[in-house]
Order: sequence, then structure tokens, then C-alpha cells
Amino acid sequence: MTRRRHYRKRMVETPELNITTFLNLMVVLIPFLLISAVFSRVTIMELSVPTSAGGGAVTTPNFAIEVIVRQAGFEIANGSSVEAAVPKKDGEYDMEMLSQLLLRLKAQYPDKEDATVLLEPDIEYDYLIKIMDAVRGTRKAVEGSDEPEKIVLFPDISIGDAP
Amino acid sequence: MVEAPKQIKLPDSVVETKPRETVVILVSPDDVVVQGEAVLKTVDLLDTKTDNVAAITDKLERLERNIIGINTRTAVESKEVTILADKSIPFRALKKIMSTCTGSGYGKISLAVTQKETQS
Repeated sequence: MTRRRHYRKRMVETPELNITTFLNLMVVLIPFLLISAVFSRVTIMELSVPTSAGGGAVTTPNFAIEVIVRQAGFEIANGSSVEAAVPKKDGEYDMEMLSQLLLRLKAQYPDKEDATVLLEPDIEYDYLIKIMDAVRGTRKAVEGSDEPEKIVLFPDISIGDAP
Repeated sequence: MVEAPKQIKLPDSVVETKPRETVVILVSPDDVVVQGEAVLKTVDLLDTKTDNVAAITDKLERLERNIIGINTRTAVESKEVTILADKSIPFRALKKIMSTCTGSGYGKISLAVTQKETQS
């Protein structure tokens, strides 16, 4: 009886858990979780807009690069005539094709910095951003390197209504 | 610093420009919120025929008349607008907001996006 009580008493006195292994696990886990955490940061995309009231009316100079986004696909125009029309592929815009066409245009006119994105009224904002991203610049995989090369295309973008 | 609100989902982009202290217009699928005050329903915005949205012009003018707090002051004086719009908002709604802003003298317009992870 006495021995039993003694035993119980000792249990109460030493409730320590062996947490060393757990801590070891945490030491590994915490940096891992921190690395994999995605910090969603808000950034902004600046537009060049005409300051006069009304907007919309874009005066077309003799040469301009225009990307016209329609429900069915997009077109690339040079200010007066349509140069290329790319239909949607599997219900999505063919972004790779757009990048390629723009790369070719950039090779032809290396000094050109500005472009216009013209949209139909019902195009979603998400697509506007995607197209603008593609017009702004692209990435090209470089052989023998993991980091793709950044290519700046036409960073000065105006937007407007599709004709 | 502009925080991404819960009720809207911003599109992803690769741009790295940091947001500045500006007048913020938030376009969720339900409401249009200018500098923290809901001014009209998004449905009504889509129905508006004209390019100038009176409710937004009104709010922008009121902002200029009574400035409360330092943050609002820098925002108004910058004459800049940041539009936080949900992914699904059609372009014509944005266009109305943009032309309203330029009409009210806010010439610099930025679109807010979430930064895409560069390594993916």
C-alpha cells in the first residue's frame, strides 16, 4: 500500500514529457514551412492613359502596334491593317503564339516601346492583365541555365476599345 | 500599402512595381468601393450607358473637399488611382471607371494585381 502511494506521488511530481524528438522535428519543419509559404503581394501595373476627359479616342500615328482582343481570339494590327489573327485554342487565348508574334515585331522595330491593347467590352479583366503581361515582356528559356532570360517587349501600354 | 481584400480575387501578373499611396477604387462582383465607401452596385455600373459614372465623380469630388487624415491627403494630392478589380469584371466596367477618373483629373491609373511567384 505504501509503496503504491509512493509510486503515484512520483508520477505527479515528474510529469515531464520527452519533447526533444518533437523539437527536433520542429526545427526542421519551421524553415521548411517558411520557405514554402506563398506571400501574396499586391503589385501595380501602370497604364498610360490620355488625360483629356472622355478617353477612348486614340489618335493613331502612322505606325502603332495594336493587340486587339476579341471573344474569338486576338489580332495584331499595325495601326491601319490587321497583320495576324490568332484564334482561341481550346477556349483559351494562345499566349505562346502572341509572345512569338510580338518577339518578331520587336526584332523588326527594336526601338518601339509602346503598344496598344484594344479590347471588346466583355473581355474579363483577368485576360486584360494576361495579355498586357505578354505585351510587356516575355521569358525565353536559355539553354544550360535554369533561370529564363527576361525579354522586354513593349512596356508602355495604352488600352482602349476594340474597333 | 494596398492589401488584397478577401472578397475579390486579383489576377496574377509578373510586374514588380510596388503600390503607392493613391486613391483606391475597388470593384468586387457586388459593389464599387471608392476609398472605403461603397458608391454603387457593380450591376448598376454595368447598366450605365454613359462613360461618366456620376456616383464616382461625386465621391472623388467629395474626397477633395473634405480630406480626413494624412493618408487621404497624400492619396488625393497624388492624383493617382489604383483600381483593384476582381478577375471576372468585364472590360467595359473598367473602362467606365477609368474614363470617369481621367474626367475628374486623375490622370494616372494603375491596375492592382497579385505578384506571381517567379519560380514555379
